[in-house]
Amino acid sequence: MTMREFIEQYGFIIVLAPLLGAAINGFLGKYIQKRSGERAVGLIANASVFISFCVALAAFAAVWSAEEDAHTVVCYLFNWLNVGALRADVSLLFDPLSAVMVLVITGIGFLIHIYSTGYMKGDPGCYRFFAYLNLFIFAMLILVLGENMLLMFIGWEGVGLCSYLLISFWFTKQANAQAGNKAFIVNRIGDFGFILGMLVLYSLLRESVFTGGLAGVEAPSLLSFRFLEMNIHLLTNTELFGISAATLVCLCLFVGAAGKSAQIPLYVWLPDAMAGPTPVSALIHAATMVTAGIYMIGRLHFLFSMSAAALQVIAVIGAATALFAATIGCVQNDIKKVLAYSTVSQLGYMFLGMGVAAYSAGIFHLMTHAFFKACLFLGSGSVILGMRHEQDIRWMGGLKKYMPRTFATFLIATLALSGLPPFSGFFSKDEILWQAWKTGHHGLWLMGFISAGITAFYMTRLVILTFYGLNRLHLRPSQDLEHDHDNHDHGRHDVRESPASITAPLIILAFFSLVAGFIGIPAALGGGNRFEHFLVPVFGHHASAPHHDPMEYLLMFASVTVALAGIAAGVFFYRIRPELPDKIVSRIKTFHRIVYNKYYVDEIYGVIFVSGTKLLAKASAAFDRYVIDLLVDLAAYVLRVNSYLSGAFDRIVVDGLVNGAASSFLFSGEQLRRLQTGKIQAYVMLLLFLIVIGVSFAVIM
Amino acid sequence: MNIIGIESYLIIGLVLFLIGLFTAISRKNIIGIFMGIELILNSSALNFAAFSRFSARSLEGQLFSIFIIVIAAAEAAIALALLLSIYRRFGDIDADKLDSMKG
Amino acid sequence: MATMDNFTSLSSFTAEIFLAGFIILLLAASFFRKNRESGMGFAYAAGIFGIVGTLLFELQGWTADNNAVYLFYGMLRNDSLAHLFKLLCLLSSLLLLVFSLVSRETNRRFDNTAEYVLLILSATFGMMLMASSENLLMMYLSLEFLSLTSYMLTGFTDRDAKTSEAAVKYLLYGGIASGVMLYGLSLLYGITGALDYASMREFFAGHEVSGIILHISIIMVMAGMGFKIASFPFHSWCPDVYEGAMTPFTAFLSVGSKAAGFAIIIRFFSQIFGLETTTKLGHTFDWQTTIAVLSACSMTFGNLAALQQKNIKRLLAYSSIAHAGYILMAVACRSQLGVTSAFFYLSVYFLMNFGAFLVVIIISNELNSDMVSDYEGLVWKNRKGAFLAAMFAIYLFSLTGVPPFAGFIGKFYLLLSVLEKGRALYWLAGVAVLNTVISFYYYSRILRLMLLSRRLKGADLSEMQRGDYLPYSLMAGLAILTILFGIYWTPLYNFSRLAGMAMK
Repeated sequence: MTMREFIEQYGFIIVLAPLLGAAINGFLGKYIQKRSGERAVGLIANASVFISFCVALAAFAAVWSAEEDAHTVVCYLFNWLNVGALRADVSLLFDPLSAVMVLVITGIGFLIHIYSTGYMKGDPGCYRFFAYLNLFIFAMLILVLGENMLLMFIGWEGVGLCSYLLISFWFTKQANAQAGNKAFIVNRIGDFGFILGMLVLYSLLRESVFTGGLAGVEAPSLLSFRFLEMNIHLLTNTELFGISAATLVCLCLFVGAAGKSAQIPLYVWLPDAMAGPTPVSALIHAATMVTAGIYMIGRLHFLFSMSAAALQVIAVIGAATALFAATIGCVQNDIKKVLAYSTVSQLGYMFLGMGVAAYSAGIFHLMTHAFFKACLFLGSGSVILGMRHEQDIRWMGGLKKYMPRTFATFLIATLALSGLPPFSGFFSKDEILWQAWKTGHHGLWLMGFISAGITAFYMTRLVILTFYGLNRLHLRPSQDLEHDHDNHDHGRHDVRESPASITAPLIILAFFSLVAGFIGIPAALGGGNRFEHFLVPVFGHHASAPHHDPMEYLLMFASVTVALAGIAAGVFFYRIRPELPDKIVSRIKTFHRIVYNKYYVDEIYGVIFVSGTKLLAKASAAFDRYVIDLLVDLAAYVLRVNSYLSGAFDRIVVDGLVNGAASSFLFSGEQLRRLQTGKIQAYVMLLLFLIVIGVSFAVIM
Repeated sequence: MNIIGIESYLIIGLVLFLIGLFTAISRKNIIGIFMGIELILNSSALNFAAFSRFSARSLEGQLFSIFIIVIAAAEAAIALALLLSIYRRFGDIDADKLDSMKG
Repeated sequence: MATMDNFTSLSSFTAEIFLAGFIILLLAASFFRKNRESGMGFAYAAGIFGIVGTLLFELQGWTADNNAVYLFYGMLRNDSLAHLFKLLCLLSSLLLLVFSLVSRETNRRFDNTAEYVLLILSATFGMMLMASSENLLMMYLSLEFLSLTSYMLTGFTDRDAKTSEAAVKYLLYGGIASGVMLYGLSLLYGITGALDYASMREFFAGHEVSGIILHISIIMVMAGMGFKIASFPFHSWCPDVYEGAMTPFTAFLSVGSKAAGFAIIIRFFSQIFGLETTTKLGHTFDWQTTIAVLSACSMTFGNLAALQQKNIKRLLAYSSIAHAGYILMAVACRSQLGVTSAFFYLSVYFLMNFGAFLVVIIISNELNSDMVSDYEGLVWKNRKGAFLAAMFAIYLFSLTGVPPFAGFIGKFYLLLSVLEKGRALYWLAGVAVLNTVISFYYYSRILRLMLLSRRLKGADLSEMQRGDYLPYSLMAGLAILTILFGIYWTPLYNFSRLAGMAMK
């Protein structure tokens, strides 16, 4: 059996294993945990993801080794729906794009599962946590591997569900439950866009397929990606509401993508989602789920390529988000919030890449970002554990000494995120910026360029505040925790390196943060950009000119410089002259406050949606009181007469009809029951009577 | 050769059938009703035999008649067993008294 | 057409041979038993073994290549339709045995359980023949076989006056109905001069036949068949017998016996008169409209009469009359899709109706009553009550035809097959939809009683016990399947399509 046949027949194991793990832990987990401890629960979860990872490797190999024009492997499971023109199969699609995604999901997922066994130790809800986590992996894989949009949508909703469940995992805390709610509501807006886009696409295609030339094909699976790609040209000249159909569909879908991938204006849920356990933040809210929007655009790139306008919107929003979120990241004090804004900013980069039609660059950045951001989040989790659930970086410091492995990995990931060569982030981010420049989006390039500097700055700030200097835990205002007294004396000595189950994933992720970029070294630096080459079957040959543009070297140099400048600024402000930031802050108090409060976006939304509603209610109440009442009084006399008449009509005629229908059924039922006299000969008479009627009808006809 | 044609058999069959139905409807005694049923069965048996002899030119119909007799005997056996239990419980076998379930 | 002689037929007849042999063995064994009480467990075990064995033989013998085989010189036709209906009937008998173990009515009282089991097995044998008979003689004999054993099973206990009364009514009504049918069959034989369906079909293809005599004979034949499936106007026995018989057997009557009846109807009409209207037939007889009218009357009558029933078994009896009407609707379509959806609905009906009757059995075990009013406040009594109510709700919703339960999909296919036939039958679809609305009234009345009333009327329920797991897991299994086939029904549909494709 070749690799390809194996995947065609058994590829579903990738999806099935996590589902089984989730089912076992979900239904029997409580019992297993009671009987055999958390270790057993963790083992089941880890094993299921590991199996999935192994098969994913096989799938990757199958796609990698495929013949020139046979890069797609399909694992058909069963026919799901077959209603009229709507046909959908449950089958899994393996091509270079999904193979990369699956490897990232299962690989990083597996590492994070291992990490979680250490992180969740001692939590009574451990089995619940692992069940959700496995379920998430399952849903994410369905999203990525689904062969049609309906299946993708199932996964899309599934990951959302798991995300809410995990954000409010410690649901006894009010804030967590609220954060879960917020994520839920914001995502509903996005999902509405997704559904709308899908429906419009479906109805348009159905029209043109059935009027067009495809009459001979029997019930095509309209929403399957392969069918879409082949027939999307049917929509070329279709217009809807005055704009081209492709643009409309793309914009709807982009609303969905913006919701899931936290772009302006729907990003507000992601920072709050940090309330969940840190492994969840790493897996769902950094590495995998939030990239679903980018993946979706990549999957439907043929559709997005048809609409220059939609791509323009995506690029602008992406660049704006990158810059906007980066500035907020500079002033946050919660270690996870900083990383959350950084995630939003990096997602902005990816959208910028997608928006300038550099799809493989976007996916490349998605992959490298998954490694280093997961590493950063897990590192922050390790720090939080070491600091006994302290998340405020103002009270950290000096951890380098106590947590050497965490520090080293965190530093590597930071450098990768800052975009310094030869770390992975450099190659992927630079590719996006270069493509933006090359396609003539110089303004967007500038925004990305500035964000790169800011990114380097706030990451340096984070590292210095956390790991350098002296520990400031004792400076913390004492009202926070009641056992503060203990920490006051011993806090520093209590900080210890985390166990191997936590540091091992960190080291592996740091390694990949370091080397993952090498698979995509651009031609300008003497590499072959094997990554882009691998994705060619999906995205087609890029228009990149083979000749070496001197501009590319210049831009590369510029972005390295700006990253270094950001780092230097960080070191200067927080290491060499640590008193400076406070001074500056006091100088530009208002501005700082605005940025610190995230530009008051949450409050603005609050005002618009909550107060706006209230205001509307008040206004209409006033209108009610002064205008309507008057009218009502005037009309009352007229109405009273009228109502008496219509009331009589209602009572006698309408009620009579409605009740009459019901009671006539009851009445006829009662009459029919009388036929059943209990006397056998009456039954026979009835039978014969009706037979005679039937026969006489036959004679007459 | 055939002095008596098929029509005669069919008319006798029909008459038997109608008499059977009438008996089954009008008799109050359950055994009477049951005799009516037997008449109906026999009228069909006669029909089958007649059709077999005159028009179909095959023995299938006559075979059918024999099977009808067998079935009728089996049905009678069951009916008598049930009647015994009815008689034990009600003291007589009047069909009109069996109306505790209705509606 | 592969017609086999008597000897070669035996190889395709293994399941029936096994069952018949088993019946004889059991009969012999029952003569030698010493202790009457201790025989019960043995008898049920033997019965279940017999049914399961037959089931395995049946599955083993079915190659699913959809090739029809004529056995015993064309007496029987083993095709996919026959196999699927046999499976359905065997499963019904299996559930009847299990229900009899569960029900308090049946698992204590007899002193001759072996005979009870014997009769069940014999009825099963009759149903298996019904599913495959392609000859008027075979059809009549197998139908009578099932009827005779059913009469005996109905009156098997002398529990109370109701049981004997039900048995006598069943016998007399059945006797007259089958007598009428027999007369109709004799007329049909007179017209065509043949007993096997294939020759009759050939005859109708080549001859112009007087419409009136044919119509009369078909209506008379319908009396016997309609009696078996309890459709209007041949339904009168149904409520009384359902009320009087032991509840497990009532459940069996409403599903297994009805399914076998439908097997005969489908085979009779599609094999003699042909399914697709495109082939020009020599006769002028329009059986489609006749059945459509019967179907509409049956569902309307059943649903209206069920509205005010006070006894749950009577209510389910009228509901089963209505369901016979729904399924007849698909038979009236005269198409492969119609046969397909009829079988689909029957298998879904099998799940939900057996489930509903299981709940009725358990509750009658507990409360010793079959009155609807005793279901009041069932949810609030204890955990057992809540579970029973939840299960009952699932079955009733499915019987109504509400998504996402299997009953909805079943009705969907029935309506689809009707609408596919075009304008002529639109009225029938309209009647069916209206009837679904009416039926919701009385199903929801039970739900309302169980859920909304907090008055704890009637006796308390006992707590769950260890021995109760069999009925509860069975109940849950049926419910899960009911939901499952409401969401993912493709496998069941594919099987049903095999049944449909066997008819032409």
